[in-house]
Amino acid sequence: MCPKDEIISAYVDGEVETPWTEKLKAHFSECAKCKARLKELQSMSQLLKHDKEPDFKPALNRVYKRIYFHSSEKSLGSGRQQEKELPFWKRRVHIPMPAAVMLSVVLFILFASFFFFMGQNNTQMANKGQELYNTQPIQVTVPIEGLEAKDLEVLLKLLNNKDFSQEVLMELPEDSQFTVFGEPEFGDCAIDK
Amino acid sequence: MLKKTKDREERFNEEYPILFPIIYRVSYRITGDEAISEDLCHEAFIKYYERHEPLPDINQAKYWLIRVVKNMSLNYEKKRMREKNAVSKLEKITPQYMESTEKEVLKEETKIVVQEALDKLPYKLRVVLVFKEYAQLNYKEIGAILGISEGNVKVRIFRARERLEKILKEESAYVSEG
Ligand SMILES: [Zn+2]
Repeated sequence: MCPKDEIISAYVDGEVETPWTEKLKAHFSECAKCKARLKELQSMSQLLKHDKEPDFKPALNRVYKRIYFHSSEKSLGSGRQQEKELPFWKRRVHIPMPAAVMLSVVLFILFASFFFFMGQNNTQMANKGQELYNTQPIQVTVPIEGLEAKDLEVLLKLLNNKDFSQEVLMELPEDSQFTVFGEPEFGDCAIDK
Repeated sequence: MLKKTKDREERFNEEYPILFPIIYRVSYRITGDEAISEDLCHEAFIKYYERHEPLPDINQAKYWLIRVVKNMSLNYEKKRMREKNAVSKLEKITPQYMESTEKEVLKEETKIVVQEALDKLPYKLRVVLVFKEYAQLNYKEIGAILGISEGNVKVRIFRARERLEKILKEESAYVSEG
């Protein structure tokens, strides 16, 4: 009895169990019809396997670069790579706690002086508009190290008493470090290669 | 930690040149599109690279990647089917215009007949046949990847071959006529 096509197809794939493989072989040697079917299915399998294919190498290299690039963009990557590739608003900047405190102090003072400036402006704009641009900015330099709330009050008072204080310079401690936290392990390993 | 990442990177660099050609081939045979295959490979290898649990060996990595590519290719297949439907609607509206130019294109592209025929196979059948012929997986492995029985794999592969035979016959008849 002739085997089903499905069995012949499985035979082509070497997926027929041992006692049956021999039986099938024997059958193919004596049945022209099944042998022809076997040849058909085999040649189809060969046709697929040997069909021309696009060259994978350029894709291999491009994808490798993209993966490396992707990984260096993420936490695994080095800071240098990160800065180059991300727009500045997306860059992750880790600021140490003391620096963050200082930054907020600076921002607070800028805000305070801004409102102060606006307040002055609103009342005096009409007659002082012209002078505004000619006025020399008052430079206030505040060493921020060891700055206390009390000092801040003094500073604000100082600003309040001056007519226009447009520039406030804050001096950060000498040893301030604005470094990126976290070791860029992977990227550095990759760069070494 | 440093050692771990280094090991992982080393392993990735070892496996990548071996696995990429297989995964790319499978992607290409399923989608029939080089650019999409590249994207699929990119996604799949990034996923693999970012995996927290390392896979025991390169074979497991291969199965894993093939499964990922297969899952992602399904989304592409759905999109492709929508586009195909849109095109066939367009063809119905302007049949005379399309016919002559299309025949000429077909004559020139007899080389890619096999891939075109594969593209015409239903997705379910195509995937199984591609796994068999282009990833050199056995029925057991295919069954494990797709979550179906070996018997089911056997049936699908045979049906895929039957359909492909028919498609190839029709195609070659069409080309020789034209
Ligand atoms: Zn027979």
